[in-house]
Amino acid sequence: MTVAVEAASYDEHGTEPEEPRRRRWRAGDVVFLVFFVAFSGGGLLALVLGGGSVLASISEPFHDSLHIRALGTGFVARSALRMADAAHEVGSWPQVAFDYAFSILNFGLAIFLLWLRPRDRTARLLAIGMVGTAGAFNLTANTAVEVVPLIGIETFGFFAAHIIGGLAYVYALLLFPDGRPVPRWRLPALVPLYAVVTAAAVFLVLRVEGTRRPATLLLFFGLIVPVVGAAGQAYRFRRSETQTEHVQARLLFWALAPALGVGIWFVSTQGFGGVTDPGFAGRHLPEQPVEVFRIFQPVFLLVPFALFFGLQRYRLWDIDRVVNRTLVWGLATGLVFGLSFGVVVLLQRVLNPFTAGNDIAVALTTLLAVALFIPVRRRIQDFVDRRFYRHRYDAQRTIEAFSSRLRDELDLEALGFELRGAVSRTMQPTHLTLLLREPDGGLTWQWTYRGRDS
Amino acid sequence: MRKLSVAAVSLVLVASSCMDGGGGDQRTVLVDFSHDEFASFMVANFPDAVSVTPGTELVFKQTWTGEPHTVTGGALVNEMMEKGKPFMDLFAGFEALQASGADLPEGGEQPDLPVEEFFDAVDAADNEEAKRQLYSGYDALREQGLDLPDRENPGDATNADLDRIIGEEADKFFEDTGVPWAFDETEDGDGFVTQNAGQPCYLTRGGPPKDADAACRDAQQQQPAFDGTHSYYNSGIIPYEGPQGNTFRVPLADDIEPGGYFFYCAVHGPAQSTEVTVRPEGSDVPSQEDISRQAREEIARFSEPMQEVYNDARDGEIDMRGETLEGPFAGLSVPVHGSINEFVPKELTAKVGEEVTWKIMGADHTITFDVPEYFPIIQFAENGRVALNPRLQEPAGGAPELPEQEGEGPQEGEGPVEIDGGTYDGDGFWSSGLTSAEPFLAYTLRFSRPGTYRYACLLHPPMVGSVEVTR
Repeated sequence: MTVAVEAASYDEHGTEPEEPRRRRWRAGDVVFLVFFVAFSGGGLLALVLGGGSVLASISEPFHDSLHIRALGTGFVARSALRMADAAHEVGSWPQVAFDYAFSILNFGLAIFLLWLRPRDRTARLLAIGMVGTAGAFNLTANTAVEVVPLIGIETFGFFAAHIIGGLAYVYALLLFPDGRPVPRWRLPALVPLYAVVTAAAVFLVLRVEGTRRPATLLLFFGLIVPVVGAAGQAYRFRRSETQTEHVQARLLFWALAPALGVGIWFVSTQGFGGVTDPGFAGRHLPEQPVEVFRIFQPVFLLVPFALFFGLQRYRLWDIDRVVNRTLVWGLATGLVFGLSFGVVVLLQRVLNPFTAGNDIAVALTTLLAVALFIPVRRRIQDFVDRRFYRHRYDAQRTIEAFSSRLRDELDLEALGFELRGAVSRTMQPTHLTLLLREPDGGLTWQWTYRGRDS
Repeated sequence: MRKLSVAAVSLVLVASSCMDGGGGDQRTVLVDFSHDEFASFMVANFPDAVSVTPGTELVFKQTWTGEPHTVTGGALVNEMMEKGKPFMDLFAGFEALQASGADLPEGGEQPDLPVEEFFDAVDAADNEEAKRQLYSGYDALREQGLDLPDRENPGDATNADLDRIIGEEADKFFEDTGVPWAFDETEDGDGFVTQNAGQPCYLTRGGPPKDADAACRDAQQQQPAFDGTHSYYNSGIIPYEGPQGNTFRVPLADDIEPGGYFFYCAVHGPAQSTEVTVRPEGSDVPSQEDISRQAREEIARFSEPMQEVYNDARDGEIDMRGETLEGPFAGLSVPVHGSINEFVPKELTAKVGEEVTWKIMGADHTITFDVPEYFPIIQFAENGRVALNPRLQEPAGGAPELPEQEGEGPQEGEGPVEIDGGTYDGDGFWSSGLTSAEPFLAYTLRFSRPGTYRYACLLHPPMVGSVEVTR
């Protein structure tokens, strides 16, 4: 006899758990990975140049050595000149810290999303958009890049990065979270619409240069991105079929609303004239639109926060599993490392009278760390599950208890009762039906249980 | 994973070394330089001397400051530099001593001062390098036969005697250096680009055409490697490549004879030169890093007095020949061969009808509204002809004609040149024209309507500012 349980199981938010799909890496995946590494490399280079300029602003010898290096020719000489010259333009420490916190957060989220869903189209677009934003909205890095005129491949890289990053951001906001484009039109109708948006974005991004840069940034990040993103999410909100989609769209819409509001406020009160110098065309004037950067940086920080919060809250893309693992492994590593350090110091003091060096202490501590790591990780896993994933922890404990009861229980009715309890506690089904398979293959209905919410 | 990391690091190192563009047989010399804290131009090459071996490629890297330059060498230049270098050393040493605070009389000042006291003042100065330079130039001029008093025993000679002898001989030298200038001043004060030095020319014997309007023939304009026997080896005015600067390369022939070769700028004269010493093949010569370090030290020395002037100007006033001068400034004079090309302060405020007076100094500048796309001062025609851009020079939009400027500047007791530019109504292109004067030119303008007006110097690209006019 076989027991068949039919249960409609949903989590507390009504989202069906996603079935992880595994497939081989294809050529397209490799091409994307290579592209992403190159794209991120460009962004990182800008951040390094900015970081170098900060270092040069506090270290006179480094500043001098950069100037000496800058007197040569070639890319390295120009990079050294960028850092040395930008050293005089470095802002206050809080400004620099905010610039880099913004960039690191965007960069970190981009890599995290990609690690989570390496083959997901929306995740890829978001990752590119975030890497682009990390570079484009770091005033310190931008100053270092633009303080020396761009030439040849630098110019190409600069514009290409802005176009790709900008478009990826716009498309990602349109496709988030399920990857289906909005509006839900047929392809022939959709293509011209997207072509118009693409053309407008490319046109604007091509104007992100020198004296026209402030107005362009304002137009692009203050109007185009929030308008397109908010319109896309508003459309999803109206057309969404589930409560989850509804909430996700609303979350992102509100995350984009401040950027849109600030963009409209900025343009209506100050116009474009206050932030642009069209009269100085053809001159290399590396002054940066500090106002625009400082206003839009915090506003744009809301978008990655909203995305992350949305992903976590609604358990999209298995993010809770990743967060769980990150918590457990991070805590376990930190604890064991900290413990090892403490033990090394302690053992050194204890053993010092007997040993000349500290090799014994290190060897003993390494052995101890190896021995401790697994039990520590298990305990932390247990703690994290209990503290942050109570529901899952309870489910696991319930199933373990049911399994042990299953070995001893012979009464079918009592077993059915135990089963109902276990399934109800772990899966919280809206209804539960027990069917028994007879020797002839037919199914016999035993009972149906209605959940609390049904 | 480890292999992958090693490969990636190797790739980055290889790529960076490839991108560096620094071949083993290349040495870079800077032509002009703009300070990293303020826009400037410096009439100098950095470093002023390099040692190389045959086959090296010399890269003359010109910082784009708005000023045109040439790289000109050859036997004629060597000859000229040998005569002119003592003058340059004398003047540069004198300026450096003044810049470092030595109490030395300006030309024409204190004519009755005994030469002995002049040298006492030099000896009392604490800039040893400048003193050495001044004395080296002075002694070399005496060796050339100039009737200058002996430093140890000057007798009754006065400062006026020194001024007269050095002034006359220097004028004689600069009027006919034996090598044409690329930028010439006619008697009515208009400048023009000469074709015999403004266009490229590479000669194995003889000099370029005497006629300033005649360029060397096409065949003579094809650049060969420099083999040391060229009588004249001239880049012409280096074409504008963009705001990142221009480059002119001089490949030294493998069979060039060891010796000293000067390369100077035919626009700015012998003060802007580099002596290239070619040593025998296999000799130990400074690396590019050594040369860059030397250049950096020279730049730091050169720009130190510029930095002081700039800091003073940003604080609102500068000291000019003992008098305090308040801004706003359009450019700044500095006690070295060069100038600061900035409007200080950059942002001004004024009421409608109120006078705004800029003190234009340091170099030729324009004050221009409704600024057009930046264009370099020199135009290169398809037939190779080089000329000044007329839009740069002439007053426009109703600005008054500029007075003719004579000589190097006003004499003792004369005040600055004053020009009333009239009123700008905020509409259309308006330019003062290219102008300057010694010690400065006071240019006054009024505004008839409120608004924010951006303005720039047409010659110097980073020189921009704005005036906010209110009722």
